[in-house]
Amino acid sequence: MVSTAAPQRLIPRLRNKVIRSTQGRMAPLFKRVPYLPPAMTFDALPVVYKPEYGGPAQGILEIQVTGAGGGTWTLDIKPDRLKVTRGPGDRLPDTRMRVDSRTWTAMATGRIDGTEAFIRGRLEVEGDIRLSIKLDSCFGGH
Amino acid sequence: MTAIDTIDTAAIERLGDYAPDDVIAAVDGVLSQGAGAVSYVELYHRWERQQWRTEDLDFAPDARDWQERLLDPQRRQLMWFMALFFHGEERVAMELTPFIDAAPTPDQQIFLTTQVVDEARHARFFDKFYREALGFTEPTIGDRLAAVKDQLSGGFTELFGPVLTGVTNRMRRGDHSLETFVRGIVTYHLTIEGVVALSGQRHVLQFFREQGMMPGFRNGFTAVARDESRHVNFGMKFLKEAVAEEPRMIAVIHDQLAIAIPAANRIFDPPPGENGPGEMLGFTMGDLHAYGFETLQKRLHSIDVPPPFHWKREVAAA
Repeated sequence: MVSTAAPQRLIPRLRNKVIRSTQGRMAPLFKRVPYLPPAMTFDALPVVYKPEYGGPAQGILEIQVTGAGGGTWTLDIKPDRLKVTRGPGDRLPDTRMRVDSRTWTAMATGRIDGTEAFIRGRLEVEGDIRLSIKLDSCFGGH
Repeated sequence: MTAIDTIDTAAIERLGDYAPDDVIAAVDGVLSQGAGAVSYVELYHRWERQQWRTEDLDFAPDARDWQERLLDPQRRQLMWFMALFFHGEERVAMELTPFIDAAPTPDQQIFLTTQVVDEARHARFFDKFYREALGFTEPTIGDRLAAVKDQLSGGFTELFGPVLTGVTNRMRRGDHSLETFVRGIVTYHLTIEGVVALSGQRHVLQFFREQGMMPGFRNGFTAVARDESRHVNFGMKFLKEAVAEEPRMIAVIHDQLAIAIPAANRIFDPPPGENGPGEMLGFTMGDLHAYGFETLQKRLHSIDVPPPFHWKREVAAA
């Protein structure tokens, strides 16, 4: 009989392996993926999340992705982990980002820096900008 | 008379007593009066009134504070922070001369000449601080710069390398067009001095002030911030006039910001193996970046240029 505790022990080990192999960034994960639905990037976010980057900023970040494969995702950012759920959260987020799916995918694959997307007006931010900067570190931005 | 008024002519040995936010408020105060409120000649006269000497700074108390009052991780984090400023001052002193040839009017050229002198003084200030407070014993300034080069971030190398020299090399090759000069001012006076340097200075000075330590450094670094405020005033005045003269320069400003700001945003990234400043210095990378964008918004507002980005401080109910 296989212990149910085994997969739980395995997940952190796998996670650490992925973080090491990608240097804590999402872009290398999807280097050879021809089409990347936004949903897949949100699945990967907790894996590449670097809690130490950007300091102890924490809170609720809502991301509205418009266009193909778009939708709303809510990120619960804690000092030690990141939890992602589909759809808007129960309360008003601390930060809301609005971005089209092409820009979002370009950010996730490292083709555009999140700061550049923001400064070029392709990514809108409401609220505490520190949370969006913390998120940028998950991509290729930092 | 408020603190903001007296900063203008305060002597070097008193400057460290001022709150960093007052020094920055003095810049914003000038900017809020509009570009016409202060002339290039007045900015030059301000430079004459605000002279200071690195020789007058006493770093003996700083050397004691550095050894006895700071913790190891604080010293380590401050070391890479200081290296950015030490190298930054030396690099801008070298890259400023093409601006003098490219500036459209003699009044602007004369002001920019004073700025070259300022940047050289700032590099000497950091050199003296490294020798007398931090105990560096390398024989020359070049050796001391080389000794801390490995502390520089990728963002620094990119911003002071291809981003800044990309523009200054065009000027060196004889491109004295308005567009190239605007791109230079956006990179140097707005991004490097007006956003990155003032944000970093504000947070480091605030930390030392709250801890009541490093008095020599505080005096000198506040003088540096006051000089840079004058440079920022020059740059913002020029950009405002350029936009009024040729509205297409708004698009040029936006484009150059899109080139410079991503590199600037990575400038305070720590060296490999180090975390960000964290709570060891009382501020975080996120604080620095948020403060930087707020500052950028203010600067753009002061020159009547809409920000290219969309950022509202409050989250609206969906």
